[in-house]
Amino acid sequence: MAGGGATYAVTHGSTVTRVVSALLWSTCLLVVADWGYTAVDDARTAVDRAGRGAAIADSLARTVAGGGDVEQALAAVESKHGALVAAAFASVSGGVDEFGIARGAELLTTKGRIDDTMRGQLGEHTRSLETAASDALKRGGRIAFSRLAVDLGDRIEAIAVPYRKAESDKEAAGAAGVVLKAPVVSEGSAPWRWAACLLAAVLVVFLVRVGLPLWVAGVAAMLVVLAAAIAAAPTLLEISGGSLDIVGASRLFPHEAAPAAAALAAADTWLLVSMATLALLFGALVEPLAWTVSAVRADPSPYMYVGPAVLATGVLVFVPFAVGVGIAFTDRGGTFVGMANYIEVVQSLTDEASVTHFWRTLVHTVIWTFSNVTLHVTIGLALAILLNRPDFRGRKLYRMLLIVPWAVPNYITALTWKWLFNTQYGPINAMLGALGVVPVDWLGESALTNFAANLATNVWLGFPFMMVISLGALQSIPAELYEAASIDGASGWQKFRHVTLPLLKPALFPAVILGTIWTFNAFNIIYLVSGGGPDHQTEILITEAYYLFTVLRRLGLAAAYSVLIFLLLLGYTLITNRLTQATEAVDR
Amino acid sequence: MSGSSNYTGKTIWWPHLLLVPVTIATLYPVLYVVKLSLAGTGGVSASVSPLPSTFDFTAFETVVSRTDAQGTWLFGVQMLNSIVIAGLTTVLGIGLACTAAYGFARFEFPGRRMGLLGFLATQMFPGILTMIPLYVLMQKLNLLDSIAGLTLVYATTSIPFCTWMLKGYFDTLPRELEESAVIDGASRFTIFVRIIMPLSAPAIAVTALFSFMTAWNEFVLAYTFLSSEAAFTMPVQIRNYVGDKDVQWSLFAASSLIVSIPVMGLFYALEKHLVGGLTAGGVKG
Repeated sequence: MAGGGATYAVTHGSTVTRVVSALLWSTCLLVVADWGYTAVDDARTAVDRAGRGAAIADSLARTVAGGGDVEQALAAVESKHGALVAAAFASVSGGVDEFGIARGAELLTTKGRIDDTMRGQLGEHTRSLETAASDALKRGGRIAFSRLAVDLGDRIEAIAVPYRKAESDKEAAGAAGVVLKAPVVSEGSAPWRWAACLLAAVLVVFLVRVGLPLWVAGVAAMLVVLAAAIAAAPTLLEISGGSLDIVGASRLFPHEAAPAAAALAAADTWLLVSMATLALLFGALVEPLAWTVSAVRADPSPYMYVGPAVLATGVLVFVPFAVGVGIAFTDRGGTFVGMANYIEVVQSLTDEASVTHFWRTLVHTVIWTFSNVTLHVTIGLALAILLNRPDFRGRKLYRMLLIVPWAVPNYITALTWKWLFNTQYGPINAMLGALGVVPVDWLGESALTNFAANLATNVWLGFPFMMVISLGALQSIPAELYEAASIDGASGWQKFRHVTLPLLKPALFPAVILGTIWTFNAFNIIYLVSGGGPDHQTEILITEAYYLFTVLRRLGLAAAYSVLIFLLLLGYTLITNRLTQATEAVDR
Repeated sequence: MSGSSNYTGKTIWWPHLLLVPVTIATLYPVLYVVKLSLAGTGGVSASVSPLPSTFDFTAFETVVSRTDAQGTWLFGVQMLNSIVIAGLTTVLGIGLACTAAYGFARFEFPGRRMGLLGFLATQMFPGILTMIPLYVLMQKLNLLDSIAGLTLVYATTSIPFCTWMLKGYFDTLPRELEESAVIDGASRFTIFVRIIMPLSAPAIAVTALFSFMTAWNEFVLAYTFLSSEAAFTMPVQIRNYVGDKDVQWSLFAASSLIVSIPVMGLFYALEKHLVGGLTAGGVKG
């Protein structure tokens, strides 16, 4: 904006600007506030369902533990809580057979509504709960409330509670629980919400007329709407606090104390925080927008040229980007979960059962990027210095042959190297065989050999770029400088250190930044060579995000990963840019 | 400085000691692909030498004549997909980028800096972050397994880079050209079409070819969005030759050669311009 301000007198306070911005504001408010209300409602419904479900599961578990008729208890639960519960189930250890051998646990369910897939999921869930509960008992730990629930897909979930036969038992005997019906999706927005938002929009116009800057007025109105939303909605703690206490107080197993209250408070806080952030964002965006509108009115021609491209990128790049950032705040079913995904990412350090290995992958990504870029620059620079010597023949031919790797499409490179590292037929093992070394299972169970294979592939692929950049920069250094240095008695190394390197820096720096970003996101190489294996140990952040997205279908978590990748790269670019500017300033 | 052929002093030989092994190592994988492609479809044995031992063209034949159960000529269809997608991407992307680059290069207007920086920022967006919503969007629009969907995504993602490349070129054209045309009464758009575009034809051609190459070589999005064989682009098919189910290295090698040789030719023709574009785009404000 700064560039345009001086040359174009923008009619800042015109009536049109005000009307347009007021309209924009009210639209934004309507959309955001409505989204916020829905999210709050959904979150409350979800926790309420979970609380009630857990209470039912808990009483069922008591009955089963107490030795009652399991089938009858299940049927009773199903008929009593029909509105919420689709089916009830309990895993019962099979006791001892006639030969005195323990029979495996058996999963009893109410009739109907449970297909084979679901049976499998439930069996797995009860088994894992039993193990978790037994572990917790031995270690004296607790089971997190969130562990009780399992997602069965299609917004259906099951909640189970583990139980034991006697207080003195050191192992869980089984788990009992219920399958919850899919929640009713929030209906359209209540009219009063729209009224509240319109009122807020009027407030904006009023505040602007009083003379406050647009964004101050906007943020104020947004916060008013938010506060009203939070205050007006029925407190969830009241709805389900009672039912959740039952689970908390259950002495069958030591569940996490007061889990729901804390979870709910956190959800509310995060909702407030993220909506306030959005409000600030809109506040920051709307004024430039309104300004642009008046600028377009003043002189539309530049916008006619730029408009189509900006619109296209806006719709298919920026909007998806923003939606992606939003998805990071949702779970698999699209429900708003605040920062839960980020928290899961952060906690992957201590939670061994976590599906993500963010910290391990981050460390690996940094090592991967650093080793690659170092090798790229070293090899590229060394070759460039050689090729820059005027005193031998065939330099052009060498240059042409050495940039072949850059010309090959990189997915083909990756697959080719996968072949080279093939254990049975690959030429690398054939070479080792010729030297008498036993074949190495490069892409097998060792993380180190997998890493080596990835690294070899990417070094081969990436050094030509650095070589070409360095060569170009070297060729632009005037020979007179070297001659002058020679006259001053400089040695070869001194010339390199004090003439070549400083003059290479301006060209090499952007290339290194670009190379770092490429390597950091070298999806094709990792995905096609090692596939991230073994056991995700050679995954880089972007391939792990892809795995979370395509295999586990954890869209929210994958989006959170991508946001973190973006922030990391943004931070890196900003810092390095600052550094470049600083060094340039010093050089001057 | 690059006039190496003019060098008349004494020549030395020791750089060859270093460069010959490096060059061999560099060419080894490529030669090996050629060898694999000529090994026939009967399977290959481990060997060190990258030089072809047989000249059996059956792998090429198998790749080119591949059909599905309905008798559709898959190779032809997939090749056509690749060509159409890359071609449409180029036409769409360059068309929009040209006008935008001209706007950014020749006008001062509020939002200009923001727009340019925004375009630069898109280069940093991790592809997967936009991929997730685009996947959902394409699914809703029924464009997931189609050429149209992929083309739209490719074209829009190519716009920012092309705009920066072309803006860099437009900046170098003297403004006097347009000023004299304005005096003659030509409109801004006429100037753009009649004067600027013809003058920039080489730059536009170079940018267009890059855009084509990028779309031609794209793998992840195509691999994620396309699911039926008849909609595949060549990269997806090549990956599937060595997929999880059956691994046919010689077919992979043969199809890789067919797909890469044209773009490698392009690359060599354009390589000089690419370096300039990549580094200039990142430095200039």
